[in-house]
Amino acid sequence: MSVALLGQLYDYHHWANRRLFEISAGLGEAVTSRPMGAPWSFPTLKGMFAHLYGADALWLARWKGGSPARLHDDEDFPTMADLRARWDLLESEQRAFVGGLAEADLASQFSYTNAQGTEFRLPLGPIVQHVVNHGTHHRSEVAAMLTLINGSPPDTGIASYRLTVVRG
Amino acid sequence: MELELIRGIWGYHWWSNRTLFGEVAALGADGAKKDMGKHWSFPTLKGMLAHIYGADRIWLERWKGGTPTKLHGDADFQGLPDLRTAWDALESEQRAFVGSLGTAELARTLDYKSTEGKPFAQPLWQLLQHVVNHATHHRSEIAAMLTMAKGSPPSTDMVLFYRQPKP
Repeated sequence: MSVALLGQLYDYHHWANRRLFEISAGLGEAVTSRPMGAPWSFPTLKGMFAHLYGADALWLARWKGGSPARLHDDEDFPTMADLRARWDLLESEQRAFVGGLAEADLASQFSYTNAQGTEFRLPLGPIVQHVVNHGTHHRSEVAAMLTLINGSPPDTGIASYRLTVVRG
Repeated sequence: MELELIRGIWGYHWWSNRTLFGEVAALGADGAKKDMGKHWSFPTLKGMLAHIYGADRIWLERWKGGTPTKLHGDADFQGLPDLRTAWDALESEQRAFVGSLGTAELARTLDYKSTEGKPFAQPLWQLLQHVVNHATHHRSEIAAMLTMAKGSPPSTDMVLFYRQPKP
């Protein structure tokens, strides 16, 4: 069951990311590049999405045995369209990786070195959950930023996802 | 492994709630009740914490077979101290419930009704994920509001929780 539990969590993650990305992209490049103030982790909508992409890409590389030295961010993507193209590819890779995990893989440990050179060894299953939780943190900021720009976006809770998209 | 995954995210949930509650409490009663703007799900830090408590409570009642019709919120608490007292009791109940679950219980289909009386049926594990994810959404708002009030609070990223030595 744990394989299904993580697979469906990622279906949710991809759905919620796309839902907010499409609303943001619909506002146009000028709006998604506009600084929204100080309390946010990243000042623009594009920067927030670029960070979501960057963190997802970093962890996927670590799960595959890599130790990337750099976290991709806003500067790597001139436009939301550039980001979308890269993100589509990453999402496919991420889906293939999570879908390919077996029960024994989830309990296994993986090692990586962060950008500061510190080595970590962590259990794979729990950290696969971390990436979705990290995404929800920043999706909440995106939702609040969208509320400031043009009103509250549709809900991206897991319950809404199950009841309106999966229906079960 | 599914039990370990679910217990892991719940351990994270209690830790991150307490971390941010402590940060809000350190602002004092006035800071926690200050209106922080209309773009938040709830305008005050106390209201946001009360909503996380309310959602956690309504779901625990449903998991135990109840059909609660009231979602607790800001108006149910005078201040952070009485919210803390109620929340400590709720957390103990949650710890007992989550700790008692076996694999078969996680897969069990739960029949429940929304506060409007609409019926739903979902496996328990999905709802256990939902409540933690729901709170992360609001914890993010709390972190941004705290950043406005006094500067960025400590990170409650899940990886930090998993990096801690196991008790």
